[in-house]
Amino acid sequence: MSKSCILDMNQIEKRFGGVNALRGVDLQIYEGEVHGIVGENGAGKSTLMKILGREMKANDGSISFRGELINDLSPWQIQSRGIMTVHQDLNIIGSLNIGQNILLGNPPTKRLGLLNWKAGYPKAKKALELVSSSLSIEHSAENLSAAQCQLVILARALVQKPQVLILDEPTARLGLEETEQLFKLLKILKQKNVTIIYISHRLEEIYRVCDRVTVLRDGLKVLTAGISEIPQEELVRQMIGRKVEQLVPKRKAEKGQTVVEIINLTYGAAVKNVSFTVKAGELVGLVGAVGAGKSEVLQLLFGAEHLDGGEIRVGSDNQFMQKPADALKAGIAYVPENRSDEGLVLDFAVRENLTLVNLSSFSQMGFIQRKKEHEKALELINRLQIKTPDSDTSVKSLSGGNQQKVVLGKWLAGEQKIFLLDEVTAGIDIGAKFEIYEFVGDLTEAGAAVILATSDIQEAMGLCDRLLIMHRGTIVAELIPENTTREEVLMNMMGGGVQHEVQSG
Amino acid sequence: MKSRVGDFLAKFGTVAVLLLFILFMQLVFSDLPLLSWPNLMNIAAQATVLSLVSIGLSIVMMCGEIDLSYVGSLGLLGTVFVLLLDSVGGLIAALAVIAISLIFGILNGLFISKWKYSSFLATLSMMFIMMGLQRGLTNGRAVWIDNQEVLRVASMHILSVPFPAIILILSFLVYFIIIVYSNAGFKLKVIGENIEAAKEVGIKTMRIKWMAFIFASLCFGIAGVIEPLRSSGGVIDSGWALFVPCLAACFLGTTMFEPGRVNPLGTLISALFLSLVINFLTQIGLVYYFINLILGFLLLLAVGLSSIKNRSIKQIKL
Repeated sequence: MSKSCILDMNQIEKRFGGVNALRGVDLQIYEGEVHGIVGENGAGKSTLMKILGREMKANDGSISFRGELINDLSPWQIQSRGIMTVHQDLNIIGSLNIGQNILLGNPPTKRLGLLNWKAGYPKAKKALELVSSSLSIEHSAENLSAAQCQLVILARALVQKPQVLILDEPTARLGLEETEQLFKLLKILKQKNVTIIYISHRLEEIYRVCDRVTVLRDGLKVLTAGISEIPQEELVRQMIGRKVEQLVPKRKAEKGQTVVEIINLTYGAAVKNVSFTVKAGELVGLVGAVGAGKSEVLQLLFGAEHLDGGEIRVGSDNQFMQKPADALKAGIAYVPENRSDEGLVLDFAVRENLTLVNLSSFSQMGFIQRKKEHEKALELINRLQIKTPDSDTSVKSLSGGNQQKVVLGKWLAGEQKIFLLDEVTAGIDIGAKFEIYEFVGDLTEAGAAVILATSDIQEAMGLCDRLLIMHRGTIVAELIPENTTREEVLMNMMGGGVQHEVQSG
Repeated sequence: MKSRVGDFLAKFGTVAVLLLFILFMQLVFSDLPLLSWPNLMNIAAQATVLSLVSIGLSIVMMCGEIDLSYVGSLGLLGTVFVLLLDSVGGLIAALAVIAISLIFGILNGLFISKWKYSSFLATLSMMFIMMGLQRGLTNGRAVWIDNQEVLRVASMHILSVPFPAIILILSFLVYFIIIVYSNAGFKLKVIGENIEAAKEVGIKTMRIKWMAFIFASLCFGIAGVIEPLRSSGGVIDSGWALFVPCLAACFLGTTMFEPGRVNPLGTLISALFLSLVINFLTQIGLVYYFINLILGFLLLLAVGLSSIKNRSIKQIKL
């Protein structure tokens, strides 16, 4: 790899108040390489990329692109040089069609500044075809799934003919097929000599697509190495600064009586005749690719959607969850996939978010008892090991993993007995993941029933008592982690498994 | 599940209700010539100022901000026009008034997009500053136009359409083309829908917002010339009368065509409808403070209706 250096970041420093987010980071990116950046949440990956895209200003240091100093340019000047970032936020405009969303930054224009969409569509179509074979540019962008939004945003970057493409957790929301398509796309881009900076928590991906990898830890660059020179264990050790024995903790929980029984649940085409039961203290994994119907099952259980058919029994009652309030009363807690939109009030303090669900238990005659609320918040912060300067910090300044802990923690303040968790560790680093797994284990030990929707096979096999594999709205297999293999789970997730019944103990 | 009927109702339901309301009024008060051609043209002339201001306000609302400065600027600009009229003539006075309005628009944009003031507070302050300036210029008195030549131009009809209405039609066409067909208008709407997305794709959000405030001030400037021509003078605080109707027009407009979004055609139709209502109420002989009462309720109704589809208006969080 004796290529020329296309991006040279020199001694980048960034401070937020008293916190050093980046401490003198040097990073050289070679032209045409796929450069992985790994590190725990809060290590400074996103901050570094935001400084590169000039969405944020560094306190010190310089960046040059092909020898030109670019750290004082505006964000659009950076983009006009072909440095494009694909963010984790899915900023899609629902009232426009997909093509217009792709051309959002530079709408095609004829004379007098008038729009000429038709002129831009071939370009948009070409970009879209690179990322997806099923989407069409005329289709409305309303009601796209998270995965489809991610693909549209990817196409939006491609249409600008990037020279450096920064991908921030691009696969966090993608299904298996879409991920494969993304990897094919990366190959094509590489052939075109496009430089790619690839941020991911999924180490398998880093090893699959990257040429070199840089590890950040606590705002410092720990190392940059060729991917073949560093084994995975060593990479993990460098990321978290200590050795890890296992990625998923062991848990032990006594199973009790059946607390949730679902019979022939049906919801449009998304969920078809889904039946299963969950016992107290049991952790059931609802495993499937993106769009398999896992999220919908949880939403139906929580009353966020109205079922078209079937029954939900919680305890001994036949419950009709008309609205989330009914589910709350029945002792159900729900942690949605999209934590920042649905699970948190980002501008509120950690304390306020933690006590939001059970505000009435801290209130007397309509007044919040600050001291009681504060104590409870501190207890939860300690129990979940939430890394926050204090309980009054606003949630939006926390890293993704810690935000997720707040979402989980707010349910802990109450008396919920059934937990519905949707992709709780998506986009979260290994350390925080482990802590969340431990916490989920604690829940079952305390007698709670947990349904965990996930597309992460490692997580499902390591954590769950039983796996219900979903494909296109139905449960295609029921597997016990000890008696199955990763390959079997994967096959079933992709719809290729042989249908067979396994009786659970 | 979306139904087509529901979609159709969301888009055109309000328009139908408004039409029915107008017919109902005419049927109840059948002795008044409410829907006669002369009265309709009279309404069109009256509607010009309200519509122009609503257009300006709506373009600012489309990018997620608000501009209340029109309440102050109408009075100030009208007074300046009258004061300049005798010394420099109608055309120059009109251009000067528009130029002054543009300066205020540039200032609004400076505070809001450059210095990150809340648009509500910045334009509210600007409104009071302009009210103060108007009083200072005239010692708190109304000023009247003596120049009959100018007043004659203002009451001219072209093809039996009054002159102010023609200005309105032309202004609306320009505005409509900008919003619906232009690059800048598209970017403006993207900012209103999702400013993070706009920033992410490199749209110059600051510049476009600034342009929106300048465009709004252009509308206010033209309205500021027509207002004194219609009332034959500059009256202290004449903008107050339009405070609620203009806001109501923008909100009521969100219940039509593009439900949940401030949009050009909805704003215009609502402004015309509100002018009609004001005209009807006056003709029926309601005392003026009753008109305010009814307008207040209409604003509540408009905001309520506009929130039905999406539970909120996309662009504006007030």
